[in-house]
Amino acid sequence: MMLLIGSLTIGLILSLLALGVYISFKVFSFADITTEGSLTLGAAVAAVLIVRGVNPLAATMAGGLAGMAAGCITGLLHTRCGVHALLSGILVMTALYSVNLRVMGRSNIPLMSVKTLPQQAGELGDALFGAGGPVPLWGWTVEREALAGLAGALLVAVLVALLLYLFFKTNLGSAMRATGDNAQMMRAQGIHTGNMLVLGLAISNGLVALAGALLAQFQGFADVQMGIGMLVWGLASVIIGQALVGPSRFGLAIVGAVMGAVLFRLLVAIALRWGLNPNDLKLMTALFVLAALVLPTMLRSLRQRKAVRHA
Amino acid sequence: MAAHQDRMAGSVEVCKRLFLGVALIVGAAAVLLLSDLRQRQATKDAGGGAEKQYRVAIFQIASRQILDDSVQGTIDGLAEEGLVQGRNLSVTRFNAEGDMVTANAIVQNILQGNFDLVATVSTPSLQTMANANRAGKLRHVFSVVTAPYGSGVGITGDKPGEHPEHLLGMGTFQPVRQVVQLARELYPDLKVAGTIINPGEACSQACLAMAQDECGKLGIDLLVAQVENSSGIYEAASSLAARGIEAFFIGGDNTVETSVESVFKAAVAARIPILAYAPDHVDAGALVGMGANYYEVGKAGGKLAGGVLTGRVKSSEYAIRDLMPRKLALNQQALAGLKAPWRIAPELLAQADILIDEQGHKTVRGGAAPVSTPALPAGKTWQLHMVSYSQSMMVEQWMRGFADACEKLGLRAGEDYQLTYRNAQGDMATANMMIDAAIDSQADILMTLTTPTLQAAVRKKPPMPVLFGLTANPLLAGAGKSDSEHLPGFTGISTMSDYEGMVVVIRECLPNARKIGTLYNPSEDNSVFNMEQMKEALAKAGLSMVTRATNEATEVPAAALALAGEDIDAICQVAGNLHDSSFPAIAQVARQLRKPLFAFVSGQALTGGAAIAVARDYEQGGRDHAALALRVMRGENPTAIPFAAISRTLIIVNTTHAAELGLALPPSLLQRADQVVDGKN
Repeated sequence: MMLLIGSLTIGLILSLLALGVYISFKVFSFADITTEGSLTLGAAVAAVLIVRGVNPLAATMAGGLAGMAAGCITGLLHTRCGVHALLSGILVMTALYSVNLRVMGRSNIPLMSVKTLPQQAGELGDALFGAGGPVPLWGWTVEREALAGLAGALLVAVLVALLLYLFFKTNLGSAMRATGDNAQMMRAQGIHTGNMLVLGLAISNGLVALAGALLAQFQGFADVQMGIGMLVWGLASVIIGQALVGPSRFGLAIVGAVMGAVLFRLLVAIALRWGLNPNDLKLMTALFVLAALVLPTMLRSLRQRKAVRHA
Repeated sequence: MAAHQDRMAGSVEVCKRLFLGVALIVGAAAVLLLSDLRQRQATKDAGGGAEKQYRVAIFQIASRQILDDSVQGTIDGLAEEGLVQGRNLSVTRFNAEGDMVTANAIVQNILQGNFDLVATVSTPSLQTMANANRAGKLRHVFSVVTAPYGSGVGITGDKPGEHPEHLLGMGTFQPVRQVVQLARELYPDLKVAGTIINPGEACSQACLAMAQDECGKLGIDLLVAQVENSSGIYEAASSLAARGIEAFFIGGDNTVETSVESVFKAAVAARIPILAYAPDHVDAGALVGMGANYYEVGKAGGKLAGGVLTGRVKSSEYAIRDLMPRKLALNQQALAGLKAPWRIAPELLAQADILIDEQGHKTVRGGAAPVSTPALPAGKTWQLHMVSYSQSMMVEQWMRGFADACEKLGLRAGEDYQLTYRNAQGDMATANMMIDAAIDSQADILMTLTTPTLQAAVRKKPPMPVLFGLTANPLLAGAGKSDSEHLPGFTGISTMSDYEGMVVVIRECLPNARKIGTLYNPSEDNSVFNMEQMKEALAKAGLSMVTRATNEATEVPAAALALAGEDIDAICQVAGNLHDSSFPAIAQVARQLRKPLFAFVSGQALTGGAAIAVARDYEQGGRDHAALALRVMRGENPTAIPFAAISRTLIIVNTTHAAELGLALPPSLLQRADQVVDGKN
């Protein structure tokens, strides 16, 4: 039960990463490697501020803002300096490694003895439902803080997804999406597409950094290496999500990305729980992703064939 | 109306689209929960039986054959009184593994542990327990004590009432007189004998007095050498041999008895025998071992404890007396090569309970010599969950040592314990989930390897004991304030470098050295920590340290050159990720400028270019980890166990590298090195 709650929480936190990757990769078709650096940046900034006594919520926001700045730089390198898209991401990611070390002052900041968002969520839960020991849940006992953390992560994921949805419904948001679809046409319409891309990457990396800031608080430490490999997981979540909801409207795609992230973590959790040979873990996750990609398409084609036969 | 229908159709379409994802998520969650079903029922079924449950603590001071035997005897003695483990008795075993600080923590633990009775085995455990329990809060039965009257616990004599109300037991004095007489029998011309004692132990003083008395009667000169700890034993024994003794009398002394091998080395060199007041020393090469049958002693203690619990034994009527079920062990193999004509008469051979013949075959006769088992609560298979952040050579060495030690400690895989190993393969998010997975699988003990998994565990604070390993610095990882003051439920084995050991090696090689240089990485916690600790250790020995900071692999060669350009006598590279991976660059500079190079990682001496490595033995780390797990499985509270570093340091010398670096290797170091290689392998 703890594993289910833990993996759902991590899945929801990393759904922000998936949303960020969705914006850069799907909306702008921009393979943005900055992600790996900005995730750690968000964690680093938040951790340092929390340790210094800043309110965790403010620290988390600051982490997100730092990520936005990193995204801006990648965007500016590409649009203003004409650096190749991939390379500008690589440059910023590489630079961020040093920046992150500078920010933290060392490679790892533990957050054990300070108050973080999950603990605040636990306290809020206590205030709302009364304090007490572990909660019984269908026969299992569950730590209150874990439940509060899950509720908090769900709230954040829903809130962010909703804000994102509403934002992309505005004129500015529509213009951004249209820029991703057909930049030439937008330029003809008098829209500065470069600025659109910079803004898009800023939002994308802001979300990624937010995920990093939350992840650090949830796992209890920020580490300079925590971003490594994250871009791939983000992409996997986005693609799984797309496979789940099919090629469809923007709102659905957002929900798909969140679901993809959660599902992906659940699959890893099952692999862990069943005690598969640890050396095979990565192979199993790859197979899971493959299955998630292939199965929906197969199901759909089956359904279509049936529909054709009925017609 | 049409618009409304459109919207309706739209919503249906949205729901359809989302259905697959939601279904898969719910399905996956259900699979996870189904895996946990057992856990749910287990919590439901937890309920108490009706029979009175007795809780007994057994406290032994160290792991030695006779103590393990007597603990087994105690448990069997309790059973003879109708108190059976698993039915109406739960036994928690405590073992200080020879450490007095731990012993003091253990007795506090026992006092607060809500036990009905504590049974102590050995004199130090009697003393520490009785001292903490002066108020008599807990009933206490002792055994395997040489001289209960002289141990300062308030026992004044051997009549009823001459002991505190809560404290009962029996004395077992070593058969010192008989052993001395036996020596005269085996070698009638015996004139001079020697013995080694730790004067700090009450029991060895008592044995010495008795041996001196008996030797005096028989006209044997008894020479005495004193030691304070086991490291001085070999020297003490050699000095006695040099003074012309013809036999060693050994026994009644925990310090000497745990290192009989050292005495044996000296005895073999001088071609004289060892006669011990304890039978198990024949295994280590003693000619005669005569002592109590400690299994029987323990059993008597167990029966007494059972009697006290059931009310059969009244404390006010009980008298503390001596009990000596004799056990004789002879080793015919030890006769070979002796200077003097020692001889074992055939009728004596027939009396032996344990006999090792000329070929080294051991026969155990009569009386059930109990098999030494780790004595875990019966019928339980401990679920050990080991989690690691990534797979590496160090992790593999560690796990090899762990498996090896489990076998040596008598832990049977699949019966006593089941090991589940998980590996995050370098993914932080997975590292977190592994802790949850261990909680859900209801692990009895969680063992974390590497720092990130420890940190994840610190954050989650799982309900079971957490024993970390392969962690450079548990304090920086947030597991505690100091080695003894740490998070409840957490303890473990760190890989912290052996700074003092390194300083000794440096001084041995370079007696005139004054300044030692190192590179460090200011952005790596462990690198900074290691640098500071090394600096302190050097300062204690009157040496100073010169440092250069580097943040990146590309800066290392230049920094090494700058460092070597300083007026330093040698480079001693502290451990850290950056400088471990860029070590070859440092070695190259050292070679060019002919500065001796010392390192803390074994591979850096084997192939990396360092002349000498003073490295922690990761396999030993795994063994320490297993021993720690056993302590916890026996019922010790991890909170009371201080953090410890790996107990063994390896000195690895590479002669080729040393020659390249212009370092003359002292013969003493080559002799005590664990591994001497030339550059070719």
